[in-house]
Order: sequence, then structure tokens, then C-alpha cells
Amino acid sequence: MARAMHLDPDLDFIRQVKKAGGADLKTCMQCATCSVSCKLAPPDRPFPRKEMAMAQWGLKEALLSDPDIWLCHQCNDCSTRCPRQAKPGDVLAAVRSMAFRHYAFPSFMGQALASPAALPLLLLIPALILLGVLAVGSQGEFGYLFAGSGEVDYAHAFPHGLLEMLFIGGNLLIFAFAAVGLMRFWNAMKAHTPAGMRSPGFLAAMTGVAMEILPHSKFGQCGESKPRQLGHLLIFYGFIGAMITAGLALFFTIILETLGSPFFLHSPIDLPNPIKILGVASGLAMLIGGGMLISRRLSGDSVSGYQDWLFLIAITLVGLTGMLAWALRLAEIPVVAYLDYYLHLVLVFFLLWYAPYSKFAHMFYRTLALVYARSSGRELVSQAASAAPVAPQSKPAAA
Amino acid sequence: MNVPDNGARITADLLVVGGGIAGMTAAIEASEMGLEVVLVEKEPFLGGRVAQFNQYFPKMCPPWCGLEINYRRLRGNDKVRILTLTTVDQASGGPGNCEARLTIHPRYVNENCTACGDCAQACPVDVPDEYNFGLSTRKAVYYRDMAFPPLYVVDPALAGDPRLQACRDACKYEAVDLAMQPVTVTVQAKGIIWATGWQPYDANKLDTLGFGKFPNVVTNVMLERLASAGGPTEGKIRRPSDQGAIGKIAFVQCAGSRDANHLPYCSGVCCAASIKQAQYVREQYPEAEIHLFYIDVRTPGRLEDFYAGAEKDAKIFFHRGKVGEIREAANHNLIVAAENTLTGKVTEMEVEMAVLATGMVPNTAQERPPLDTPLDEWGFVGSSASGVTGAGVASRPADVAASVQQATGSVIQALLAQRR
Repeated sequence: MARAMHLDPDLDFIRQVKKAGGADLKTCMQCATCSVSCKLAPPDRPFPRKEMAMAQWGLKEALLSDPDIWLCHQCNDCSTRCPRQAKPGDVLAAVRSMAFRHYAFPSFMGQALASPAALPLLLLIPALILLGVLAVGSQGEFGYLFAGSGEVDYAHAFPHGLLEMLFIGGNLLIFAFAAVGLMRFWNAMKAHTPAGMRSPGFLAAMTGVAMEILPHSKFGQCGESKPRQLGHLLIFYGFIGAMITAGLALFFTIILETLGSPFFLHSPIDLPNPIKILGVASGLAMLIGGGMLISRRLSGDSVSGYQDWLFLIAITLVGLTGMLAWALRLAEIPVVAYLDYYLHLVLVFFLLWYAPYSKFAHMFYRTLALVYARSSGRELVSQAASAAPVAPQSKPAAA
Repeated sequence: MNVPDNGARITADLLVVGGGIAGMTAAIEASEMGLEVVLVEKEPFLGGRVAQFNQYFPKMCPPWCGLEINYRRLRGNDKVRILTLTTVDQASGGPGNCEARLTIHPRYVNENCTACGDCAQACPVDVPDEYNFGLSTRKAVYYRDMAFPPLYVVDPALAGDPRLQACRDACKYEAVDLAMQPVTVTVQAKGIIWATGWQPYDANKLDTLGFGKFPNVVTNVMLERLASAGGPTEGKIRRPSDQGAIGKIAFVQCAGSRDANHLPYCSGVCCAASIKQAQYVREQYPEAEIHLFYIDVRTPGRLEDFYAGAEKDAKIFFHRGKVGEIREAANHNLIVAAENTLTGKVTEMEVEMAVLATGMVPNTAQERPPLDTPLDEWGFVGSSASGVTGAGVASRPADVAASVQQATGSVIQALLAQRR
């Protein structure tokens, strides 16, 4: 049963985990209360006890490539019941934030998003580019922006064709960069984690994961912080709804117009058009969901790092500025409306362009880890094991 | 020994509070050195927690051994004055000069009692027996082994119950006196030894382990009663739900111990106690599977041999991993869940009974000793500078042997405190 194991502790990694939210990591005594408390951990090789050991020992590569850190949804049942108050839930959250930094391509972007000092510069890039868009749209005439009242025409100030080019082009680039990081992560998972016994195949694994993510069923199994499910669900669907709205708007106002189709719509699309209904609902969902999660974090639900706040505040503000942009246009207050719309666009591009490096990346990494876990048979093994009756005990010759 | 008159003043060298193994030891050793001692005990019997046990580890002898030796030493010893049913109301002074006011609570049975038991037989009132943790009942008039003096006693909460007139009427010796009143006395002593012992950590607070919800989850101290010939089952270990036999049993170590949410410390005795109790089970059930779930087996010193002996048993299994959850299955069986940290798999085992190895909480944590005696962060008596010296588990968690040794030492500590 005993097996020789060469340990190569990375002391700096231990320090970083402690700094990133796992401050009480070292109080863990490996009693494994956490692994039993966790409602999401499979009974075979459960987490987070083994992850706590890896973190304490500074086993950086093994830990960052461990898909189980992504099976964790930070319910914090483990942290509540931990007899040493080592807060395994927060330790795993810290490790996750280090994981997407670790695999980031280019890697300096991972560092930049983790550093508050780099924030002004990171904001400056979309801010300047959007000023450029504004300059193009306004064609040197800026007076209309500062009117105290009157008609507000966002599409004039920020030509939507230009915005869509930035949106689509940026996204393609970002997806390419993200793909490099995710490939690194996938290969690391394959190299460091033992594969399970039965594999359902990649496609089946993808379908299985999708069926899990769409209703947020893992969150639903949480004990301690189950209320988080609704907040996260609202943000998740709010964001997807907003992306769909943007796609539909692009199609109806720009593509159909370019094609000369009679079905094209004039910008701005307004109520009661279903596209606008979708947009408003999405914005509200992001705003409300964001508010719920922010208030939970403020109440000390779990340790919150810089990355947590940055992402949560940014996505909530996207919802807020989006809703305000609509209201201010209807209220015909150009000076505030344009400023708000500008902020909205800066935040949208801030979120999208830095997605592979900010906490936004958890969406990709978690999905990939869940797919890996399924395709390597981890979930199947666990379900089979939990369904099987307890085998009769026989005493090993030497313990 | 007669109850002193109300308002009496008694002078002594030491006042020892608590008549368990530690207090008895301290009182006897001090008296054998020539000191005058007053030993007070709030219960009607001596022996305390130890008297409840079935056997001591590691020698597996019954507690009567040690207690009887103490009884013999007390016999003919005119330097120890024993007051049972007695509590300390308040104390003043300091090292060398302490004055304590005691209340001797009424026994409601006088010295005419011959312990014939007619009163109990006639008694129509049954109550849950706290001595057996509610696993059995006793009469409102009852006799306890180790009763001192060896008389029956009436439950003070029921002394006013009119149904108890039947007990009085049944006594041929007119020994039952339901009108008996408490007596207040003052003890002037040079020092106080505080040996008020401990209680098991309240298992009801361990909400994931099912105690109080599932009948077959018991605590280690309850198992002592179940294994004890004088206990509720006359020593037959049977599970509470149906008095069924044991085929598979789990011992849950550190139930609330070493836990920041409960008792932050290790009591240092529960591992050896569970190994001892595994032997109780083995004696009665040669084929039973015994599973012990632990974080670390803490059997220091010679107790390591005791542990090694249990490991030789082919059907005692040690699992490294704390039990995180106990659920109930069909037929009041229990599912005990723990991660085996040596294999990395969660074990969900169905057992017929689970024993929670709860730790020791000093009684001083709830009832502070007098004279502003300092306690440590967990409620154990710290230094003896106040004039109050801790003895036995009032000073630290300990097994019987260590408690007795510590109690002997406490006498010297109490004397030294007077010199400083």
C-alpha cells in the first residue's frame, strides 16, 4: 500500500496560496472531515483533503493540474465544519485563481490581471480605443455630446459597425489566446491525474457537463451557500442573454441592412421588440445577480480576493451601465447618457478582452475540467462507487 | 458519620472539594501525612466519574480495585471528615487562610437506615437515571454503590412529591424524613484543593454525528455503563434501539475534540478508552467487526503496547480519517462516513452501533472555583496562587493513573502555596 513519492515542495507557491485567500492553509491536520462534508466530492479520491495536503506541501504542478479544484463550487460546507478552521473552500478558490494565471497565454497578462497596480493601464487600453471609435463616429463634431437635453443616438457616437468589428475581431483573438492556455491546462491534467476506469467519450462528457452547467445543478447540491445558486444563475444567463442580444442586434441592424433585406431594423431597437425585451431582461439579471453575490461576499460568506472583486464588480457594472444607457436615452439627457454608454463599452471590452486572464476564465477552466473529469471516467466511477454496497472488510496484511 | 449542626465551624488544614478518585486520593494522602482534611462531595456517593466505569485501561481491572483501597485507607482514618451531598457556596481569604461556607443538602434519610430497600420497593415514582445517562430508570428513593454514608437517599427534586409518603410509610425504622432541612457549616482551612472533575463533551452539539437523533449512536461514557455489571443492561452490550446483539460497531474518535468549533484540545484518553471498549465488545462478541476511525491514535508511553495489542485482533480495523457524518439506515442501523486518508476513498460503512469518543470538559469551565482562581483558556484550574489548587481533571485532562499521581502532587502544591 505504501508507495515511494518524491516531493518537491515549492515554498513560494505555498506563500502565494496563503496570500491569495488560503491564509489558514497550514492549520489543516488532514482529518478529512472536509472530504465527507463535501456534497460534490466523488467518494473515490474525494476532495478537498488531498488538495489541502498538496497545497501544504507546495506541490504546485500537481495541484494546478488537478481537475478536482474545479469540481469544487465553493459551497463552503467544508470550511464551516473544518475543525481547524483551515477554510478548505477558500484555499481551493485561491488555488483556482492561481491556476488560470499559471496557464495564461501570454503569461504576463495573467500577472497583470492579478495585480491591482496594473488596473489603470488595463482600463486605459479599451478607454483609448473607444475614444478613437467616438472620434470616428463624431467626425470631429463633439458638441452634441454635451447637450443638457435632446435626442440621444448612441449608434451615431459609437458606430455599431466599428464596435462589432472590435467585438468580433477581439473575441477571435481572445479565443485563440484562451485556447492556448486551455490546451496547456488540458495537457497538464492528462499528465498529472490518473485516468478513470471507464470513459463515456468526449462528446458524451460535453453533453453531460452542459446538462449540469445549464441548471447549475452542482450549486444546488451545496449546503452552506446554496443561496449563491440564484445569484450566479442570474449573472450566467444575464451574460449569455446580453451576448445573444448583441448578436441579434448585429444581424438585424447591420447585416440585414448591408444585404438590403426588407426585414432589417433601425437602431435603436426598442420595446416591444423581443430583442429589446431580451436585452432588458439580461441587463436586469446581471444587475440583480451581481448585487446578490456582492452582498453575500460583503457579509463575509467567503474570503474574497482582488480577482473576485474585480470580476464581480465589473460584470455588475456592465449590467448597471447597460440599463442606465437605456433609461438615459429615453430620458433624453445626452451628456450623462453618452458618458454612461462610454463607460458601459469600456467595461464590456475590459471583460471580454481580458476574459482568459481574469476570473472570467473560471468559466472556461471549470467547463474544461468538468469535461475532463467526465471523459476520464471520474464522475462515472464516483456514481458507480456511491451506488455500490459497501464491500465486506478484510484486513490488509500490513497497514 | 453524623451531619454537623447547623452553623458549625470546622477547622482543618485542607478543604478538598470533590470526592472522586482525585479528591479522595488528595484527602487520604494529606491525612496520612498528618493533616486534618475536610472532603466534600456534592453527590451522595464517593468515587465520582471513575465509579461509573466498567474497567480501567490498560490493565482492565474494575474501578472497585482502586476505590476500595481508598475506602480501606479511609476506614479508621480520623483525620478526614467526609461530607457528602455538600456544596461550596462561597469562599474568602487566600493561601494559609481560607474560609468556605458549605451547604449540606438534606438526604431525607436519617442514620436509622439499614439499607434494607423497603422504601425503594414501595416507591411509586420512577425517573430517568442520570448515572446511566438515561438508559435506565431509578426510584425517587434509591441507593447508589459507594454511597457515603451507606444510606438510601431521596432525589431532592422529588422530596416534596406527596407520592413519596409511601416510601416513608414503608420504612420500619422511621428513617425516611421528608422534612429534613439543609445545614450550613463553615470550614476554616489553610488551603483548598479543587477536584471537581469533568463531564463528557455534550454530544448533542455534534450535529453531523446523529447523537440524540439516532438511538444507536452512544457516547463512550454511555458504553461504560452498558458494559458495567451494575449498569442498565447488567453488563450486556446491546444496542439501545432494540437491545440487539452487535455484529459491527464503529468507534468515532475525536468526536468534538481537537475541533475549533467544539473542544479545541485533545483529552489524551479517548483513544485508549476506545481501544479498551473494543475489548469489552470483543469479550462479548468474539466475531464482531470493530472499526475505529481516528485522526491520530494517541496512546502515549506504555499505552502504545495496549494499542499494538488491539491491532493484532484480526477483526479490529483502524481507519485513518475522521468520521464526518453519521446517517441512519433501515432498522436503525447507522451509516458511518469517513475518508480513509491512506487509500483516498470515502468509506460509507453500515454498522449496528456507533460510539462517539467524546472528550473531557472540566466542570470548572461551568462552575468556577472560588477566590478568583485563574483558569486556562479551556477552563482548567491554572496556578494555585489564589489558595485553590487544582487536582485531577480539574487541572488537566488525564486518565485515572495520571489523575491519581497529579492529586498526590496537588497536596504539596497546596502546602507550598501557603508558604509563598
